[in-house]
Amino acid sequence: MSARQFYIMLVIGVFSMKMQKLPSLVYGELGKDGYLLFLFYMLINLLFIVLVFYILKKVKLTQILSPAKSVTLCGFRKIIMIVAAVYFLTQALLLYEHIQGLFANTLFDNLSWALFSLLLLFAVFFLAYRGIENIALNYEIYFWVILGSAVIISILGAGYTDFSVVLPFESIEFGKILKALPNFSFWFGDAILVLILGLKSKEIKLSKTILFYVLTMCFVSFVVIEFFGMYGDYSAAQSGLISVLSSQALLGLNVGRIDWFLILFAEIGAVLTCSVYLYYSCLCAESMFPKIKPFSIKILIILLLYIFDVFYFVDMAAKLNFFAGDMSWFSVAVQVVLPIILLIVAGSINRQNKGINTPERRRLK
Amino acid sequence: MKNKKGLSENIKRVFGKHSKVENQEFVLGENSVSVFYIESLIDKKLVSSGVLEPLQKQAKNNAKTTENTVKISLELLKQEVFAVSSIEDANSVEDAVVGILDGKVCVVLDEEAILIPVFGAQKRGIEEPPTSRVVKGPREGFVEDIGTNVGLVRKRLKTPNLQIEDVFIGKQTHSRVSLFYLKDIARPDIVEAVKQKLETINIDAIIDSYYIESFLEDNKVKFFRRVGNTEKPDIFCAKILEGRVGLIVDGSPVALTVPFVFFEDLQSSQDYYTIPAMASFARVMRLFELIYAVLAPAIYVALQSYNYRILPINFLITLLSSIESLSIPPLIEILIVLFLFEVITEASLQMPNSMGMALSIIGALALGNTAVDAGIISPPSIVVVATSSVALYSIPDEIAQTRLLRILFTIAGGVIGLYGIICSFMILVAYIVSIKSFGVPYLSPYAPSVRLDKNDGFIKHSIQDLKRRPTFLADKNKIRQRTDRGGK
Repeated sequence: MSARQFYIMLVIGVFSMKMQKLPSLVYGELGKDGYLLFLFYMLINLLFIVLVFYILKKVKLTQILSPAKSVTLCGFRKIIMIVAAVYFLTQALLLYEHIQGLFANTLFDNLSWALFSLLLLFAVFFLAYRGIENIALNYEIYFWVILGSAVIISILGAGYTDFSVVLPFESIEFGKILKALPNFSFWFGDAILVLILGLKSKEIKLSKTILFYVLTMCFVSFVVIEFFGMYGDYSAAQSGLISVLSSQALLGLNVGRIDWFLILFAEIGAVLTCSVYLYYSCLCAESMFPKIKPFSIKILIILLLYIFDVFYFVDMAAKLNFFAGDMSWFSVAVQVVLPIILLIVAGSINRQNKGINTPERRRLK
Repeated sequence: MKNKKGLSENIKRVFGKHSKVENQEFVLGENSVSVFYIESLIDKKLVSSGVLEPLQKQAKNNAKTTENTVKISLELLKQEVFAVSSIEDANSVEDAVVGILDGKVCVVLDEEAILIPVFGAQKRGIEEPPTSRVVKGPREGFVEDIGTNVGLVRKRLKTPNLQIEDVFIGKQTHSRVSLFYLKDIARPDIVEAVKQKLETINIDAIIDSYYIESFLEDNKVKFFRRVGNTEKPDIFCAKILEGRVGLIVDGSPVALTVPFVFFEDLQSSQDYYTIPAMASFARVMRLFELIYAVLAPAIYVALQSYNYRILPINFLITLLSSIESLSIPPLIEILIVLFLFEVITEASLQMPNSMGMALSIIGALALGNTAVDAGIISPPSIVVVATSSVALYSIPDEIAQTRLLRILFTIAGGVIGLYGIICSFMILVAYIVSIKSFGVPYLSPYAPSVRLDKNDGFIKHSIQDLKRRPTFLADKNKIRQRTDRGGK
């Protein structure tokens, strides 16, 4: 994976996760100041990104799952891998749910999601099956299409936005925002994304990673403000950000809803990011069960995704209760504890490997 | 030396009585000389003046000097009798037979044989190939004769670095396949890989270069080709200069090049003979035409079936008035139109030219009037399928794939709307991205992105800016042009 691919995956991954139902959920809980939650999380993630970079540099390996594989403490490693596999699967599930939500109003009122979601399932599986290098190439192909679509939608939407909705600043309740932070942790695992994408190229720099992350989060916050400004008190009732941003026919009815195509293009990012998480979930599961064929594990994981999606999350309330409810503490634990555990693991591996001149280490030198 | 005993008799035995191989005998002093050739493959005048007449003259001279009988050897014949260059020795009966079948004259003296190249089989003249016509630029095209084709390449690449290696493939056809590459520019691993693939071919006959193309593919199950082809020597040479390996097969006017990347389909030789802005515009248009050709019927049917709110309101009203008399669902309607198009396309390819006009009238009447009047299909669906069918030909080399994809996407769009199209499109792109041709990513220089290689991409730069050869192709000599000292 090249540095360019890494930055693209980070930008699209961060953007896709937040461009769906999150803003309406945030508005429901925090009202007009909800956009600040995004900025708070940006600061927290910046700290963790620095920590992740430190771990990855310290362990002197290009991918964090490699040292975990080589840890001799099998039981401990298995726990890490189980937690990681479950976490990545929930992330994939979250995005999968969002994609369904986008099409729900226009299509699946009449058609069976249980049947026709198989096509999306196959697309995500096919991407994940081909591996992370292949997914990275897909990101490269779609990058300008996704970014361009998102930017055009936000520019067109700005014409309908009342930006004064975020005023007055004096009434901001920081305590309330801080209290609500854990509830939305599932959507903000950005440092974990950096961790799993790893430092596969020497050209990946912390400074550039921070720059691209900050720019993305600022853009996301701007779009969220736009959404609040466009819908005001009805924001909480809107089902999905990227689709409802253009519900007012941004280009006029005589031109048609060309903006809908832009939404579809932007949604490609969600499918790709979903496949990234699915891929890593499979990878972690495979490392737990080395004797089982990787293909069988992939099938099992994708079946789990399908079963959860179709049979467990039967309605929107169930989905949101799952992700923004008590399960959010699981996400917090993973996002905070996993990097710290990996830091310790990295340290212990470093001590074990001291003096051992492996080919991989020689290459890196 | 193998098979030398009774060489002349052995050759006669191999060919039998009915193989139309001419055989003439001459007596030169103590020696007997047999000449074998196939009349239809040789240049009769050249054989007469360069081989037969000198032999007759020599025979007469020998007859006059019977008292001092001269011992004739093949070496003497080669040096003093035949007025033809590049004579080869035939070391076995097989060599002699293959040489004769290849259009050479085989001269057998006692137990030794030589092959004299006097090719003269009927061949087509050099003309502009019908598949890649240009407004500006060279108009020469390859022909079926490999000798002419090699000459056309040699004429352009006057460098000792040009390596041409011949391989003979086909148990029955012994087809000559020439492998072209530039030493120090082409990657040795790719050259080796091509050679190995050629060596493994064990087939009765190579009728056309497509046979070789199939063997060069990595996978038996393929949807997108991994081997480039061209009928134009200027394109062939340009690709060789980039570091590709070229193949020309005797009997085929289509030359092959590997590795092949998808972007080559969007390039045209004309792009290099016009201003960069126009070339860039043409390339972007070709991509849009390709996407339009594949997706237009699918999007039309998806919008009509599920996502009609996306259409402009006035257009929606017009559309509704056009389709109100239709009694069949949109998907079935568009599939009928596509089916009719496929039928007409196939028929026009198979039908004699004289029937073409009748077919056009039937097609136009059946599609244009009768089917619409009968309420089977609507005018908008004809417009969509007709325009997408025209757009298919923007990339003629991918016509088979795009025709199939168009039908698949139409079904996806008709069954589950834009959702189906997007999912199918993503699966397709994920598949294309994973393709490699001789280790080179199929979508390079865009995935993976190679900045310098994009100079000859959608935004085409001027020739002065194309300083480096494509990153994935060139070996040691990556620099295509250097700026003069003192220049910028």
